[in-house]
Amino acid sequence: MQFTASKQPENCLLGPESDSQRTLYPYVTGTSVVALKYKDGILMAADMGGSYGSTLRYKSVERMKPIGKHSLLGASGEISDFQEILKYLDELILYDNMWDDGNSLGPKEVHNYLTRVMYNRRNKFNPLWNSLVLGGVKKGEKYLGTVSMIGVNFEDNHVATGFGNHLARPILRQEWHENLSFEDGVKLLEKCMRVLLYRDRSAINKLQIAKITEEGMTISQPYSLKTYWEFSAFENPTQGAVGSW
Amino acid sequence: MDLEMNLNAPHSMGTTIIGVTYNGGVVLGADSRTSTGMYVANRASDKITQLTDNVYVCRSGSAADSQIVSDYVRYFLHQHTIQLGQSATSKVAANLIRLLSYNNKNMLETGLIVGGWDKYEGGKIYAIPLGGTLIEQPFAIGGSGSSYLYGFFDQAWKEGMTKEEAEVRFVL
Repeated sequence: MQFTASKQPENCLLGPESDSQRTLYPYVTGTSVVALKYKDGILMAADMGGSYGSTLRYKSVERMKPIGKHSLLGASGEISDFQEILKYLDELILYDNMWDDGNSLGPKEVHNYLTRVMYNRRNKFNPLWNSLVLGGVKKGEKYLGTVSMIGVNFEDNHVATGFGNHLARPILRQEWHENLSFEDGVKLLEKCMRVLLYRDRSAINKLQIAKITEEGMTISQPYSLKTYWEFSAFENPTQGAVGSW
Repeated sequence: MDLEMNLNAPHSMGTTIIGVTYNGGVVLGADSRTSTGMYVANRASDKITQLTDNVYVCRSGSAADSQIVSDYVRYFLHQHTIQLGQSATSKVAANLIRLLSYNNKNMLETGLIVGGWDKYEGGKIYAIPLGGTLIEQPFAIGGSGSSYLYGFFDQAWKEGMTKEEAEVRFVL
């Protein structure tokens, strides 16, 4: 690995670079997460790929995890930072349970906590290199929000990270409506994931769909989507070809 | 012909490391070359390093970084074993490696494969690539030489092999 000395200009007000810790670039990354609100709660989908640059190195990475009783967290970006966030949340939920007061942190609270963590890290120039999707249901109220690595956060009826923002959100804007049934919600998510599979180079055809409702969280077994390749140009490819060798 | 050898280049390993689970435990394998640029600094390196009686680690990337991480983890595991009163599990060893790799990600350049056996979970393999992600896998490959092996493993791997199959087909 080349060690390049970073040069600061003469009039720079920054202190020596060696003092600060900062995450410069991600290593093992996950691609898009897509989620929507439906009749009974939240549906979220993510593939199971962990890319190492352009190599698809890990094919069984679970990028969605339950948080406490009411929430579901999906992440794209650096997997090691996601694992660290899960540890922070473990501690948060533990302390919440230790109050033993019958109350438990809902998705809105967890989302707020994550926003603070991400934004504060951004301010220290040492971000957690993730885009997070936090969804859940508490006391009948559905919640779906997102936080980016620079702390941008908002909630909506449907959210996505990475490529999903460009490819999935337009589909969702057209076709999402209130009180989607579970089947329709899954079909809609699969439609989005299929487009991502076609057009996102780092996507893989092995995905999970997670559902969270008042009753709790379930996550499907990994499965793959059917894709269409029956283009007429691919039939009889040698028909018009002049000779071959 | 260019005979300029950069003998001050950092000692990198240019490695292939493999860890494979089978029906009784794990098999680990590694090559023995340590290179400094184009020169082979050590042709008899031992890249499989012991952490405890029942947990070993395969090292790749910077020789210095992987050695120092292994030394620290061996030290922590030793204390942990004393406190726990029994052998450490491979999961604990892997998580200690992860903590060091993750919290020093800006300074370290080492990819490690932890393999061990404990009475709770049997044989387990954990991969800890650059950045400090921890990922448990039925088999793991690492190092710059591993690029050539992805295709082979994808096609030939199966669960529940015998020790002979694991050793002969995959590691050796």
